[in-house]
Amino acid sequence: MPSATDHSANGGRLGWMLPHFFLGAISVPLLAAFWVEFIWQEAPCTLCLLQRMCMLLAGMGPLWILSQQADPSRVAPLALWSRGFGVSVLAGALGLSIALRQILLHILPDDPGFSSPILGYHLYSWAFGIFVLVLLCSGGCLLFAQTLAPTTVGKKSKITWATIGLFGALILANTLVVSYKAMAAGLAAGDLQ
Amino acid sequence: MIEAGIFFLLTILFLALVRGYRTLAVVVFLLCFTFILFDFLYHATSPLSLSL
Repeated sequence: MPSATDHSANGGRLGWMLPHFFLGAISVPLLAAFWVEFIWQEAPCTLCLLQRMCMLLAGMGPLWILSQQADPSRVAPLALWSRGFGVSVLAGALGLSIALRQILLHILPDDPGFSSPILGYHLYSWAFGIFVLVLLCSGGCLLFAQTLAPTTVGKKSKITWATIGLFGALILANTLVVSYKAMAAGLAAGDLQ
Repeated sequence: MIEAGIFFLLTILFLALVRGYRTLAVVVFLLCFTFILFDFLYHATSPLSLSL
């Protein structure tokens, strides 16, 4: 007969994998956004940037869990798990609203939409689907928090550091690109005066 | 320009999480969320949005 400890250990393995998978999956559309911006030469609008921010903010939830998982003495595992996915739910709901707003801006017949479509859908339509998935996954993780929250965790593995590093690089790259463009626009506006 | 500021805050949030500053992380998260929300609301009520 399996004991409570065995159950927790199985949930712990899944609980270890889920934040990694979540963080890796949310990095894919962010990388794709860079592809569209630099390879296709299509600059993002304000709403696109806001959706990108919400994706980064949604990724902060699993990052929160992964970054503090190694020290269960500081934070209760269940509280940490709930806080992480609570962050993702908030960011996902905001991102969903922004994506829906942009979809509604282009919903009229004969509207070509903003930017080139990917596999038949514009970026904001993809973003809408991604935020729905973020909400569903986060809701599921919160629903089964008691089972999934890892209780015994050792030091951070190389996979954990690689996942955190990739996500950090994406945040830094976005910050540098947007800051550079803002400064260039500011300088150009100054030259015109 | 405000977008650059929010991305900068997201960078601070990332660093706060990785370094283990939990209180700072909560404060910066709430700041990020509020700024994104208000930037969105400003954009949603601006006539410029109709030109997108």
